[in-house]
Amino acid sequence: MAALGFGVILHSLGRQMTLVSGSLDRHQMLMFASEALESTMAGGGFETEVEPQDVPVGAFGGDDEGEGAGVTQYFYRVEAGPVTADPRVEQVLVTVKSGRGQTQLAAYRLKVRRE
Amino acid sequence: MLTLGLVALVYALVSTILVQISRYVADGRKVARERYEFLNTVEILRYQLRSLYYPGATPGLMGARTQTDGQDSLRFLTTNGRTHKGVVEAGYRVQPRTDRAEDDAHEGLAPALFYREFRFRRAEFRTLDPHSEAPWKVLLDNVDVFEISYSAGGETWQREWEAPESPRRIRLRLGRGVNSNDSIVFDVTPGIGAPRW
Repeated sequence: MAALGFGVILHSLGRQMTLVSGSLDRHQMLMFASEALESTMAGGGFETEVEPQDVPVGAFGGDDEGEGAGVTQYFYRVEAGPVTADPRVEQVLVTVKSGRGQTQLAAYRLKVRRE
Repeated sequence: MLTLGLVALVYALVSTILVQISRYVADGRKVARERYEFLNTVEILRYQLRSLYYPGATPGLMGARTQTDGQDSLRFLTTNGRTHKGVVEAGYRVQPRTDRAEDDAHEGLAPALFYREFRFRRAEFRTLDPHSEAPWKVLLDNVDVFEISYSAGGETWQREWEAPESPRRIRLRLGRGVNSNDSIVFDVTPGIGAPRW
């Protein structure tokens, strides 16, 4: 019973520590996702025929300023897909990955399809 | 005697483990609270800049570098103040704390992010004057990087801004100093005031 109790406590502790340690990383990726979505949609869209590629986040703004801040460890990919419920709308999906490893998140926004 | 020794040993082991766990929990709570404050400040600053108010004839944002590299100052008009409604003048800057008690002197060495906000109902008083008498208050402790770049077209960047038109994009870098590697960089597009991602 004691071992079981300790196991539960340690597991909970480890999970909380992992959550706290990754919070800044996740928030940073969320901001990059937001920026990638806004930049892409403000730019009038993109070529859906082109295969989506991972773009280093250091390319934001078109300068290499990000390298000093270590933001080049993040990559994002923007792709568009149809929305089956409504053919007039397409879904713009951005996926941000952390170059350090396993963390990634995705965000999307709907956009009226242009004929 | 042997039984008593074993009981004492187990008790010591359990006590040590519990003490260590409580220390981890306390440290974790402290880090979590600091990160929450850090990210909350970032979010509020972000929304304030998205709600940038530009009167047109006069600048609505003035950003300048200071004598310390990486510790810029920023003053702007926004419709999303922390404490007031309507258009307010908001200001951010990094400076050393001088209001620490003696026993907190080691923490007082780290600079902090200061903030001030005040509203003027009449537009002619909104001058973004750096010498206004509104008091600066500590917003976030232990901040030593507050670096801002501005872009008029989204391609080239400059470190200061006092043009009568709004920058198209603003890039901020905020970082903590002592005993922390917390740092975050983000772009803001002024003019989109809604609090959304």
